[in-house]
Amino acid sequence: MAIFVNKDVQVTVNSVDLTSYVTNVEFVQAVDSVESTAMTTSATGINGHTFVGGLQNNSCTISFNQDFAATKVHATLTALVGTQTTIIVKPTGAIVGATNPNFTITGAFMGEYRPVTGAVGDLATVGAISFTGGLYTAPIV
Amino acid sequence: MTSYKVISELVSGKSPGDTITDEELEGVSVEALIAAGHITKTTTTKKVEAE
Repeated sequence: MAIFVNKDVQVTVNSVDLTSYVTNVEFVQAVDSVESTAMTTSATGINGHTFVGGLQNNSCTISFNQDFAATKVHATLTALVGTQTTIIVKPTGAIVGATNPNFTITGAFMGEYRPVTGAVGDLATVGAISFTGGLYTAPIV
Repeated sequence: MTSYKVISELVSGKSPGDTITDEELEGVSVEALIAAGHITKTTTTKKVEAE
């Protein structure tokens, strides 16, 4: 697969396909850096910090166009505040595979939801929602 | 195993009227899906035998 432009990134939140409302998505696979720097026997033995990998610290931040109709964006997201869920992000609408992996976080926590944001004349949107924590699952390759 | 009926068109991989099980919903907040109107618990009716 060559380089490409984001056009049909697929986003599933709590098993609900909200792709057609998503305007921006950032999926972050991360691990905490835990410092393990220690004294050495020689003053010149160490000149920098050393780290080991700690707990996973994944996140996924998503922006949506708002829709207050039944079962749409608002209904789906407001029910998730304060809960853990599963987020799946796929680069394109094609079948999952090595060139189109599905990035998944299970147990991602949604702590905040901003149903109304924007200035006069703006499109009604949902403030960027962050799903934090949880376990990253390696994509299917 | 608990089953639910899909009642919205946004449930991933399902259409309204389909059945979805708690196994398929592993890692998903079922309460949130119900509250948002995406699924509903299926009710099973027992046939009462005539005496």
